[in-house]
Amino acid sequence: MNCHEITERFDDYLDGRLDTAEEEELQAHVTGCSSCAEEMASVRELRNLAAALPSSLEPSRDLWSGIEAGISETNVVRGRFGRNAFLAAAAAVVIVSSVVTAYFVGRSQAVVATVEPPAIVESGPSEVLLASFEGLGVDNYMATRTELLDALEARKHELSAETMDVVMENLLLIDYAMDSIAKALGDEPENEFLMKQLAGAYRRQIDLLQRAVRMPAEV
Amino acid sequence: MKRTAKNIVVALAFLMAVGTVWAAQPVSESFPVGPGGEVDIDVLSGTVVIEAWSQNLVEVTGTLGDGVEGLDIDGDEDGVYIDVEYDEDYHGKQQVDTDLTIRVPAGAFLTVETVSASISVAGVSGELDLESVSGNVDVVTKPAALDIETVSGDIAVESAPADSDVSSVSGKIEIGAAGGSIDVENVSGKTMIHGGVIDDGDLESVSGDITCHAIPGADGSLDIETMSGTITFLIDAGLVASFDLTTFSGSIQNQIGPEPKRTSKYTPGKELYFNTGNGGPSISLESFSGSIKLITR
Repeated sequence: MNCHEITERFDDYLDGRLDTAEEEELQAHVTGCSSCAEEMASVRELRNLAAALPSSLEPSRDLWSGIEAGISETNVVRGRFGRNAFLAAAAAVVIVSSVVTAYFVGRSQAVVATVEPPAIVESGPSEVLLASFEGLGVDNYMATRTELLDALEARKHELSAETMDVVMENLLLIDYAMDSIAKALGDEPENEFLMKQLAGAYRRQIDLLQRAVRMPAEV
Repeated sequence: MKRTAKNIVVALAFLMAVGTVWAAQPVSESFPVGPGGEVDIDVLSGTVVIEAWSQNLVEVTGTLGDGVEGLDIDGDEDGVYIDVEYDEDYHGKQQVDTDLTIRVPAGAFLTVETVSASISVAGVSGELDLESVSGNVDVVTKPAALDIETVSGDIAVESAPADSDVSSVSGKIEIGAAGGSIDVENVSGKTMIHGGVIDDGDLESVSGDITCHAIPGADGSLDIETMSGTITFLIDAGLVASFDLTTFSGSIQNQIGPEPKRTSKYTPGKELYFNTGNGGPSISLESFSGSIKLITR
């Protein structure tokens, strides 16, 4: 298995869903691969943090009112390890993802059109929002994603307009999907299908950002 | 006479100012390398055709186009690098392309990087690592391992080896025959696998369509995921396998199993789990809003 395949199996590994051979292969790979070891540590950290989350989460920021309606009704933040904890983590990353994508789009438009960026860009994520992230222990994840978006922003002049369009369109498509799934989870916080869909969408968005950042220069 | 000399000087100065102008420069060079040595090729634009031969020698023939200063070849028995060096001050039009034919030992480990140059590889049985931004990549051989990445260039692979990793952002990916473990990622481009066997496969896109006609290995697993693209998976009617089809808001068209069920009364999501016998490969098809089509041959 390569690094991509290994990281995709982390959740199954941590849930004990891999067979012995796969488990050994994954352990051997992680032992010899610092990048995957770091990723594994991050996944463990997120899951542990999610497991220790408070019993309710009621963000009061109108910035994410659309998501809030779904997230705050989920009752997903429970003090035990398991799918609810995973959902809590997933819900948190939806918020992170949506906001940073909006953040990036704003910055992107600012560069291209040389107009004043939207308010969210000027102010960044609100203190309330950041405090919520801090409370959730996802500040590292926010930093990671912001780092990726900044890296892409810095490389914009090296990529063609066509490529940037493709990247942005697809980032937004995933963002839309994540919002839709998060809202659906608001109605059904125990729905495993939705949890899986959300996790998949989140992973794809991060994959896309990582790929965009390391793409070879075009211009 | 003085005026003529002055004009010549002015003309030369002008040429120097706009950059060196090169007509097509023929090139023919060779360099010894071991049978399994690494050959590293770096070209910006034009075409790069790589062919295998039986000699322990790397041979480069063809033409160097406009703006090229020269060809740099160096290395040792373990590896040779070939670098087309460009004049950074050249801003003229590319009237003449750089077109190279490079012969390498059949077992060479090949690494090629281009910007817009197309890459074509034939007959090489060693490992291939090919990267292009907008150039098309065409592999007419079955290498030991394969790693191809483009941004907008199309990718065509005749026969993918047991260890294949292929990705593009908006280019079309077309694989004649899968050969074991294969990992394909695309963002908006179409992906097509026309045949072969997949023991362990991951095919992913964001908005690109994915079509797979390969046969899943006996105990293999195949995961195909997309956000908004259409997944079309063609299988033999008698295939024994377990299937897991899910979509958040797309449709499921299934010719071999039961009807899909709604995943929730709140969302249009559908899911379908079924087996066509005991054992067999595990097949998972998942989309957000894209259609899923499970079609029999």
